[in-house]
Amino acid sequence: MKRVVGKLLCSVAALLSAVPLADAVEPVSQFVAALRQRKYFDEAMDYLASLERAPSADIATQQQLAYERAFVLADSAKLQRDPQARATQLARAGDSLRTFLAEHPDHELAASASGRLARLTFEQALADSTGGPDSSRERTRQLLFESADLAKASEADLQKRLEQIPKLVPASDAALAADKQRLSADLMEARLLRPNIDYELARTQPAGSSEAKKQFRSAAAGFAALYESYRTRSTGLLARLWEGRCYQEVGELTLALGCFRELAELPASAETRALRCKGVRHALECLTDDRQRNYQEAIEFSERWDKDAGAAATDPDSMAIRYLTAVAYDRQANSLPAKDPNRKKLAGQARQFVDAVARQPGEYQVQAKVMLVALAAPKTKKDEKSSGKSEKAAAKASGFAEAFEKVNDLLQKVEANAAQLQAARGKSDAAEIEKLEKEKSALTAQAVASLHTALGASDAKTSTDDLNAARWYLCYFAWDQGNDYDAALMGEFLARHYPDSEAGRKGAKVALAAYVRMYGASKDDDKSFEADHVERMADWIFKQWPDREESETAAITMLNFAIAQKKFDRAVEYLNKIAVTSPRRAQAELRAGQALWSACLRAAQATGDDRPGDADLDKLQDRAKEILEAGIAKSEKNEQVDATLVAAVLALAQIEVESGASDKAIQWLEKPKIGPLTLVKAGNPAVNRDAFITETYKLALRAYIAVTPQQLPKAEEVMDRLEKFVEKKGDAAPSINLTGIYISLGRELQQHLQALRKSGKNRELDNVSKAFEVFLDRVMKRETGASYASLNWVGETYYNLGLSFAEGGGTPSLKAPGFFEKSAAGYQRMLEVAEKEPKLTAQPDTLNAIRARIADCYRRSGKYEEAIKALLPVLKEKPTPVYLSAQVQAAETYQAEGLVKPAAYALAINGSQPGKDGKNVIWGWGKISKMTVNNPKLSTVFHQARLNMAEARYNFAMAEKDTAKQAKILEAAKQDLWFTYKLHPELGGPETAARYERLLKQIQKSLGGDETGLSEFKQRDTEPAAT
Amino acid sequence: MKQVIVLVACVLLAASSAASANDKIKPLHGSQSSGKLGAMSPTEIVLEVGTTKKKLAVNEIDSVLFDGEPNELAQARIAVHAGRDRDAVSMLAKIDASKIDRPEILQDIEFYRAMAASHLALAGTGSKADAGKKLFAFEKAHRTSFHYFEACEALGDLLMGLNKFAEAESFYNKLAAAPWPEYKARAGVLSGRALLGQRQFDRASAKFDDVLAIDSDDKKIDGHKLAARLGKAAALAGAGKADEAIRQTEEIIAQTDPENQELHARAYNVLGNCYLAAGKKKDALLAFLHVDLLYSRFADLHAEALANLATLWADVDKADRAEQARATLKQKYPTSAWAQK
Repeated sequence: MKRVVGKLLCSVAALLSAVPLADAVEPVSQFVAALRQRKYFDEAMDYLASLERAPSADIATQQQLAYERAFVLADSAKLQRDPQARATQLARAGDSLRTFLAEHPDHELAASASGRLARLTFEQALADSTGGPDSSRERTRQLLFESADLAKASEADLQKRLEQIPKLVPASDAALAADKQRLSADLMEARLLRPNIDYELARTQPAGSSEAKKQFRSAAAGFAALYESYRTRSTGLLARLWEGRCYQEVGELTLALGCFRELAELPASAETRALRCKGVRHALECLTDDRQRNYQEAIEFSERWDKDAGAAATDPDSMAIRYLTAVAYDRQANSLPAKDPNRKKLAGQARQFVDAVARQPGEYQVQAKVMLVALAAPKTKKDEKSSGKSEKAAAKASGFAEAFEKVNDLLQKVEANAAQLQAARGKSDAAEIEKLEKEKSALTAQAVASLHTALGASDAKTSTDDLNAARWYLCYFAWDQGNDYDAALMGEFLARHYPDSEAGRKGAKVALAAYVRMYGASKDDDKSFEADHVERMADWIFKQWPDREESETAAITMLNFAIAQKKFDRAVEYLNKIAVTSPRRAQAELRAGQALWSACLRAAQATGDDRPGDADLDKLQDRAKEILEAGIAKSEKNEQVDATLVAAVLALAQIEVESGASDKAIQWLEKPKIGPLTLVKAGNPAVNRDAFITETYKLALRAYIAVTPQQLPKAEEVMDRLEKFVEKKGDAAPSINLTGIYISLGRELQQHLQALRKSGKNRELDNVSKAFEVFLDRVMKRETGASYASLNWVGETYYNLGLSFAEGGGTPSLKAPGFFEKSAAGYQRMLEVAEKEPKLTAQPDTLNAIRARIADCYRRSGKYEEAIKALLPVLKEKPTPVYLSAQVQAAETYQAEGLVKPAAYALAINGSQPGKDGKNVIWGWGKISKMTVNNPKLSTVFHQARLNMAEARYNFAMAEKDTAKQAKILEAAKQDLWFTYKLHPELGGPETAARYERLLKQIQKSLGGDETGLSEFKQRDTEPAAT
Repeated sequence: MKQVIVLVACVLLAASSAASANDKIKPLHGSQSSGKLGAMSPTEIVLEVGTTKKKLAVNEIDSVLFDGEPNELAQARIAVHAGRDRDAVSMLAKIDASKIDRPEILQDIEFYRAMAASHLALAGTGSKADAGKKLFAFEKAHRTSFHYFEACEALGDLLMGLNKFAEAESFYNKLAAAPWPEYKARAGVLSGRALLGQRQFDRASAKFDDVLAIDSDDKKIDGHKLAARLGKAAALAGAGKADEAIRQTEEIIAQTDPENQELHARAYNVLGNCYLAAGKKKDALLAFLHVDLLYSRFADLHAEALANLATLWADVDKADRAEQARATLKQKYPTSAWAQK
């Protein structure tokens, strides 16, 4: 992308130089705004820096640079997840504005800048306080006070400037009208900020303290005044919301409700939706508060919201509304007598609302889960007692009932603890979280102990409902605590014996999930116990509740389970148990398709018996594709694009590339709404994961290269983007990461080519390899932009191409040496780049590794001299980690050369290249074996050397025409093996011993003797020593 | 008469003299009768109502109330029945026997002292020696008591808890001498279990077959037949036919009301032992865990499950759970034979 943005910047610079001075200011702002909007913050900063350095830039532009820079920094701060990093970035933005204000106090943007600075300082205070210790509270307050002063000054300045503009601006003066509009908007924002500051100041005070209340009331008055001034505008309505929140904070719920009701009942439109939603949410918070308990009105509010716009919404406010509605229904149900038929109905409604909240991560998920547990439990004596209808029964409370009463009290505490924990997590308050976690453990332990006591105290008179309530709670707590055996047992008991109850259905779900977890946790080789229980439980669910949600959930669980077990046919069977019309079918298809595709990739990489046949692999791939297409077709209709959908699209594009349909892959990658590349380029949050972005770029690169006709400019653009992305991530060693990415890309290509070769798809193999050659040559020839990493990629890819032609199975292709030669050239250029890079020259091991690779490439391409030449610098250095392997490589090179030039066998054994001290720089097998003989850690190298030494002699002998000389050399080869045997009779283990045996038999045969192999040595060993 | 339940005595009645006795017997079915207790035997009680002598079979009696008995005795009876044996022991300790002259009341006090001690011993919290002493003394001294069969059964249970299976069998055989089919069925099941303890699996199986052959419409006997089927499965496991034993036990579990808790507790222990015999440790663990989690109120069965879990949890790399099971066993059932192993 660097190249594209670079071009863009050049054209903008050219544009700027061409326009008159007076008009120069506006395009800068617009361009920077456009870059900000696209989240090209680095480019925006680069652009501003380039203007700063440009002597041709006009004065107005120069003056405005600090102002623009502040906006860029402030916007980029929003992307920072870490609050402290965000605060730092905002402080930098603030400094930039201060610079601007100090240098140009009378600039026409100065008043706006002051307002903006106040807002930035305010945001900095918020970021600073998030997750910070109590000790940081004072600093937050100081920042808030500073923000208040700035806002006040800005407001006065803006007011003054506005007063200087006539109330009625002539229609002909568009510039003045625009100025007035901008100043008015800035003034409104500055006014809104002040009560916001009061609100945040109140939050820095101890909760419930008189200081906090005073500050909240002051904020409420500020918001109220603002509302009065801007009643019909969104700012006014927003102020009304905050006014209500201030009242809510101080417990004046009636006043708060007045504000929220007004917002909740705003006329329906897309513009008011968010505000209405917030109004309903906060109204429900008040209505379900213990001080109000107006559950009926809460339900009515929610019904209106649900009918209006809420049904499909999943934003945090909508989820909060659902949870609070469930609370209202649940409490309404509990307020009715035990036998009231409406009670069950209301509880059912509560379950319906809370179920969705419990499924989705968010503010209320934990509380929702706890509520679901309570709703699933059969109603107990406590309810009966509270209804006043069963006083006699309560009076006869048994040991069970007494213990169970205690559980109910504890459960309420558990629920409250869950809410507090959630709030503490929201504030990232580590100390509070730790405290509450401990409290949770203690409460749970107490509840579990009481439940066991209750069950132990039960008797024949204890009602089954009561027993099952206790059993269900035990089941839930066991699951929550990770006691999977207990959870599975209790859940299965309820499911099998009480399938018609809510506890039975929920128990089945927990049991299945617990058995699956047991399967995952088991360290045994034989997991049949866990697998049998998983399948048995699932079958029970399917049989018991074929048309209910339980079966669907079980099918999804089993789908994943079957995939994990590599039972793909079963996986598809489970997928088909989910109704095609089910809203969960699409997600299941997306997941199943991806899993099948991953499995297909893994299976293709397997070797030997583990690798399925090509037909099976094709079948698996087709099935993955079919399922992914079905899932994507269903999901792309949704408004929102989520990570699962985009990952599925990427998987589908991968399938297309692997199948040779790069054109289709490109279509998927570039799809406007769901294309991974489109979304990555736009910075869509659904793809905001480093690994995903990297994979997308890698795949796009492969597709653009492999497609016919090639789309090389796009390939280069993607390559630039990839490099830029890796650098931007801020990793400690971006070039190493980039190198890693390129190497993995090379491997993928190699695997793809090998698969094509194995399956005999030679035409496709040729096409893909040719396409890559074209691109790699192009990258290598680039004057600029051919980075260390990209050259590494070129070298690695050619190397892998060479390997895929040389070792991919079948007869080695004649093309292999050519690829190795090109690989060597790529690495050679990479070495040249590296030798100029101070960071890399300080790492001689890296340089030596490159040299070793170059030598390897030359050897594989049959250029032995060049190979030795490449290795010499490595061998002339002091011993390094690659020193010994380089010696082995040199000996191997001579050994390989021996095939075409037998004299090289002698060099392989004895070494070559005398140094200044007269000793050979290249050791040869002889010295390698001497140097490693006493080091058990290097035993593999020792045996490699001994075997190769004997083999070199054998091969040399076989090339000798003089039979007497030949016999002598063969005897020497045998003697090599004999000495080795005497030294290490086990010969390095069975595998190496077999190699020795094979070679010895060849020698024995060539000497005209019996091929007795090592038996000869064994016998010789037992004979008495010759005297 | 396993469940002879005696009603709470009215304090006012304590003042009444034996001459104008107002003893009460409540039958299992029908209305309560008052009068003067006459002759008593392990099988029959005579109640003199005016000039009429009513003969009541012990197995048909729900409860007996003695005229003039101390209030503490009445409370102790209720406590023993409710499983509050420690309370019963305290109540009975408050009674000054020297002030009581009716032998039937003294006999009853002795009986309930022995029963409470026996229950505590079987629950693993009381002395077995003390309980044994009391029960043996009662059995020896009161062979004509209407509590006789009950005492024999309790003695058998106590001896089973001491792993003295042959002696236990002899007392269960005394219970089998009762004339009623339900008693015979119960005794058959208990004797069969005692034979299982002696590893006489064929004899045990034959004993259980006898129970299964009883022809009766009595629903209580149906319960004993289920227990006999379970006993047969255990005998199969003991004889090395673990797979068949597992199949039969699982069938019984599936066919029985899960709230028939004692049977389920026993069945899961049998199942656990079958799985152990078959070398399936995880299945065994799951079986014993049923007793621990669902049926822990049966002390001896819970203790057996805990003892097995203490080993089996360690086999699945859950040393903390193993330790927890061991600690619970020692804490809840310190005198149980399972805790001593």
